[in-house]
Amino acid sequence: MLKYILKRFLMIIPVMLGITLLIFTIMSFSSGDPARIILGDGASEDDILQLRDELGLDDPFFVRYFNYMKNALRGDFGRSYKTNTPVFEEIFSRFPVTLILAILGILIAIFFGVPIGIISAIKRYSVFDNIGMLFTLLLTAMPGFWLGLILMLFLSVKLDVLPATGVGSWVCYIMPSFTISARTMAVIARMTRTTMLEVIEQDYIRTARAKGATEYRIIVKHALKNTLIPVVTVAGMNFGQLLGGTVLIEAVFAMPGVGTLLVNAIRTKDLPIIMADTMFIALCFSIINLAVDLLYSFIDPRIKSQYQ
Amino acid sequence: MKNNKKQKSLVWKRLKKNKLAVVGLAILTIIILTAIFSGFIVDYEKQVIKQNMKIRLQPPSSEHLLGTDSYGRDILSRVLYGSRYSISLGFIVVTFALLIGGTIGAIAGYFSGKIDNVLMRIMDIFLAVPSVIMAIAIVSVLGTGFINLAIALVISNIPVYARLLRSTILTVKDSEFVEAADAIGTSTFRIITRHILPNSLGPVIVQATFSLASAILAAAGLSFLGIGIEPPKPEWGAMLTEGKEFLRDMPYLVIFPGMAIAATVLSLNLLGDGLRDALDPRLKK
Repeated sequence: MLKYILKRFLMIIPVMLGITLLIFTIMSFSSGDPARIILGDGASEDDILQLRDELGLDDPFFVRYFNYMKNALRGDFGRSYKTNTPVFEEIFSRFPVTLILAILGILIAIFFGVPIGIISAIKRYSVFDNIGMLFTLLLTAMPGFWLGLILMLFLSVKLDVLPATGVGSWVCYIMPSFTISARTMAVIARMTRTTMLEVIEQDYIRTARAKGATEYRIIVKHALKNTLIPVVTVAGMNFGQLLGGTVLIEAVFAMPGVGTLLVNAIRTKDLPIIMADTMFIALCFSIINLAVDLLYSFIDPRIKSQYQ
Repeated sequence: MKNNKKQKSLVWKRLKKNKLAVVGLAILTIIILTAIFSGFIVDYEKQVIKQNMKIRLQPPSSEHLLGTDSYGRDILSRVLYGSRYSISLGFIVVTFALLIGGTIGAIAGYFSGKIDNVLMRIMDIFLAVPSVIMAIAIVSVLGTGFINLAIALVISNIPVYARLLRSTILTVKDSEFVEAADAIGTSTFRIITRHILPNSLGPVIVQATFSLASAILAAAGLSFLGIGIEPPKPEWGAMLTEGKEFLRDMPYLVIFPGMAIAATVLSLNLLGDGLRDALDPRLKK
């Protein structure tokens, strides 16, 4: 098992190198001279040439990439063109907001999505099932940023029960977390329902029923465990996407996370921030995918036994 | 050929039986027709773009069924015309992503070995970045605008089709009819395009329907962030950004463009689900 974890972990390295090369290549095609962006339009040509030389902008592509990676491995991602603060500091000061949002999002999605799916499956074609599935169908179609604005309209503007923006207290996270969880919750609920319907048709469930086990015991002890594997897959895949999705939700609720940092950096052409931020999100995405893979083996003993 | 026609009519028969899929198809047809004929329904210069500050921020009335925006433009006209951007962008993204990604996937799947390994590792790298972030990174370099947004979304969608085509081709390429075509000396290109691809189309059509929905959502999202299609063009996401400023007093500015996006995505999701069930009834739950 340890060998498998190590192998999966080592597989992240070439992917990360590929991502850095890809992002570095994309950013190299960016219009605008970084030296001119830093010094402003009023700078003299001599000053610009000197800064270009200092930053090594005239070096060949692979030399620049190698230097960037050498510094990046030491935690030095350069300085923001606009604020001159280290990029590493900028990202890490904002990362907790994004992480909290993504974690709360996935927890809410599982907390509500799994029970809705189970009840819908047990009470198939009932009023609850029909309403639940219609509700989830609508949630999957709504753009998250629009749902956020609608929630803001009702809960902040009309009813004034939740703050519309900011991250001052935990209350500020309620609306954004529910917004970001909505689509994932709908997907999890639908997935749970489908899988549960398959599981409750199995022979071992019939056997449990024949032996007189209570309905609660059948669902919780026998069916739920076997429903979880596809649900974990969906939750894991969506957790990574949630991390990307926070960009939009942070923009709606004016939250200072890595997403808003990225969007602001694009507006001001702050290349070091764009590059490091994108790589950072990709790294988190890869680690989450690895964690989900490992989680399977804990849930499903058949997978675990393959690596023992 | 005869079998192909028979299969198509069977799929259509199954699809017609699925009420939700029919509803999805009906909504989508209306939206596509609106997108095609919006140039005739509304006057782009007078109703969609021209500002009239005397009638700004008006609530829905008989004259302006969905009200007017902060520049006095008719919201209904803008929402109707906005369908052009979303629908055309969605189709362009899916077509090009399918062509490029599909070709990569077909080559990888058919030739296997080293070519497959190299191509798929490159696709893995693209897939390791969330698609929205990848699109944002590309737009940051290319700049805003319809074409640049389309390019960004095409690139971020290529790996999805490359993987899908590869896996479907892997399942088909060892079939007897492919072996037979190979044995009689048919060229590789012809085997892929005439024999393998038509037999791998089912999952691709389903994926294309869902991709259309996610491309429309992503385009609206990027425009909402101000890095997609920019105002005054009536793209739905861009309209939401404009409307956000007036959420307190004029929620209509936000409600209607959002409903248009949701209706389009919902119709595509319903149709996609229906197509999946019709193409492979074993999957139906």
